[in-house]
Amino acid sequence: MTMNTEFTLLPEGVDKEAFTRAIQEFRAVLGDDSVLVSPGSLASYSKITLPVPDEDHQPSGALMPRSVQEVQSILAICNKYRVPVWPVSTGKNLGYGSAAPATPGQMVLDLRRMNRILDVDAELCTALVEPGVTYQQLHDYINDRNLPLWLSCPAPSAIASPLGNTVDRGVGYTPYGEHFLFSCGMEVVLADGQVLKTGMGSIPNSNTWQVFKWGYGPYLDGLFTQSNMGVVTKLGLWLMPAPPAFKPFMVKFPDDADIVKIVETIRPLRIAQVIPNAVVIAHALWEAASTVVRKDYYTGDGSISDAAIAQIRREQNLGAWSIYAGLYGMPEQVELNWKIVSQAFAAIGGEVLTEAEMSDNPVFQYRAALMRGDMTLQEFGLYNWRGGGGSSWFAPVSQARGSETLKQMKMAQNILDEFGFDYVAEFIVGWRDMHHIIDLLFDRTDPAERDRANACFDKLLTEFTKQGYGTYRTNTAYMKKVAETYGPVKQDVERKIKRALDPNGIIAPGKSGIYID
Amino acid sequence: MKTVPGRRQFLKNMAALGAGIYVMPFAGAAQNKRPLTVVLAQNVRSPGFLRGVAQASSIEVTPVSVLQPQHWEQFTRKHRGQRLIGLMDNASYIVFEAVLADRGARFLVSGHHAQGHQFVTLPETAGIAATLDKCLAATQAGYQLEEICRGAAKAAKSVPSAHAYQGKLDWASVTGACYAQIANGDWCAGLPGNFSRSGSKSVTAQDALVSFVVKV
Repeated sequence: MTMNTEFTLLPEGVDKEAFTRAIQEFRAVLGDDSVLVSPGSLASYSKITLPVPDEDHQPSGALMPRSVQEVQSILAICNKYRVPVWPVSTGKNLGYGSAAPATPGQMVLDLRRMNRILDVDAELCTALVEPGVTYQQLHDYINDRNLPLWLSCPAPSAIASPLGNTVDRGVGYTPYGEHFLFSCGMEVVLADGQVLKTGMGSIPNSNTWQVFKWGYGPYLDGLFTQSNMGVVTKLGLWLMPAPPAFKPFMVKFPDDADIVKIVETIRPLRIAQVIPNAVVIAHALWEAASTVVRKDYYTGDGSISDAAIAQIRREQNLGAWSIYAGLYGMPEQVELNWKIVSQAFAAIGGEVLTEAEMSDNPVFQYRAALMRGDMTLQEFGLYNWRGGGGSSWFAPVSQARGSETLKQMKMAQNILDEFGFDYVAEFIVGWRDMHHIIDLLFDRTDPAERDRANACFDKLLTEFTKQGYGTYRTNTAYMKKVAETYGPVKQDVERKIKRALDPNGIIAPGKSGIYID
Repeated sequence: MKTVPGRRQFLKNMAALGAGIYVMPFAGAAQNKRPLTVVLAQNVRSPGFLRGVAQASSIEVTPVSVLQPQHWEQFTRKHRGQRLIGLMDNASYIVFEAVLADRGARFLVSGHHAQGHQFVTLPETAGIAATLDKCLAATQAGYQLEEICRGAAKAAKSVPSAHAYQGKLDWASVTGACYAQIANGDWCAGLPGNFSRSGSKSVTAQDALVSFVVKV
């Protein structure tokens, strides 16, 4: 890594002369205003919330193409000069690395100007979008045309990209919340400039690209998620038809240990699709952290005290766990399922609450908004819990069994306690799996706390891996380490595929721990 | 809601807030500059920061509700081309920064203030940590200052000195005064650096805020 007075940073292995020529060629293709190398223009690409130094993820520049042809030209120049690029859609992968690359010196390939909504079919309930399209943009498009369609969005909703979230295998909160599962067809620019359309997209004159996922032969789409095998420039989405009836609800439970019976109750309802969306089981501190701040309850050293948590629960009227889910469908279906669901939770001691009872509760309102695919930014309130701008998501996966929950919670709490951080977490019950989402919140302005947060994250990953819990998604600082937890064979196969598709390793080296050597 | 207090009224308000007698270190500066816009996230209060900004210019205070997406387009259209000074809670800032960066805005400096102060500057805005160090050294407060400069900072054209800031010397007012100079184009860039002094900290995580100057 070499600092330079003219450039912010040179890519690894690229000298100033070669980089200068590459920049000139990028400018010839894109125009001066679409090739950014000055420090001031790169600030938004350099910002991270992770517990590592900024320079570990400093890009050398940013490129802003407007078309597939320009992406092809960029990759040709990258191959010529061995300049690596880090594709981002809108770069809002907050808590996972934002827009900054996994390794320093890469040029951010910022696709936000490729922001066309190419098709929305209200009858087939499909869409085809480019990377720069945001959920807000697609939401407005649907609303402006009064189309009977719902989106599924992650918590950052408005500012995030459906394509970006899907290819990073993000999730939402509607019945279509497993986003990659509800994608259908990709356009991918490969490192050699070829344009691949997956699924049915390669058939001339086909109109089935967004309706049949599998095409013919090996299913390739997965190769381009959480990966660096190509640059995804279009994505087909399945959209949810607006249901005639929607009934969001919450259930409160008083004790931490209730989590076991909660999950045992939810699992059969989820697998049978009585509850069709991913069920959130939020711990009291997660609930509190989106609306109140830590300092109002605790100013001592170390993790927040049990007494302070009890006070928060009392004053904010929170359970130890709060469950959020919804029922969707015809009114008769929803009415019937409501009887099943409400009785099931009441039978295990839950306090079942409906939208009518929670209409003035801001947390319920934002959860309900997420469950109907509306735009809300309320969850950003988590950043105010501790202050100082540090956030790093830890996301291990387990079976959806009650027996997994207390064990995981205790493991996480013990490790967080050791380093003086709070257990701000939720479980999300998918169909048969469960994601344990922990937001490691810390103060980045305190170097000692930053180092502690890094050590804490490392220990969480190490200890959970020892117990057989894999991580489904991680931040740019830990991609290599998480890849290693999946073993050498998987890494070897990925490396071979990478070498075949991108022999110079110009697309996002280090993404998900994948390198050419 | 927007308030445009005159300088006299502003100082009166500051006095009402308990700010005490206030000394303007840049005599005449406030009258000669056009008003600077200070963007405050709702519920953020920092008289010291506003007092510092007002050293160099009259100010317009614009409260914003960043978490309401429908306001963004109008906001950026209205302020296009301007340099705005801001102070926000962490959640509001992270959204504000993302939204404005998407619309081509350029953050000239940002500062996270919690247990310590972490500034991110550009070569032309570097030197804030050194300035704060000089000013806060005259007080009894402990502090931890970190400055990350995006790009190669050049040597200072002139060294900012503590006596330039004659108001109450706390991190908020000095930072506000520095930002006003940046927004007005009067800042003499220095070198980035890290500084610390033990003692009771002037800021704790309890007061976590983010300050910035952005060119929209």
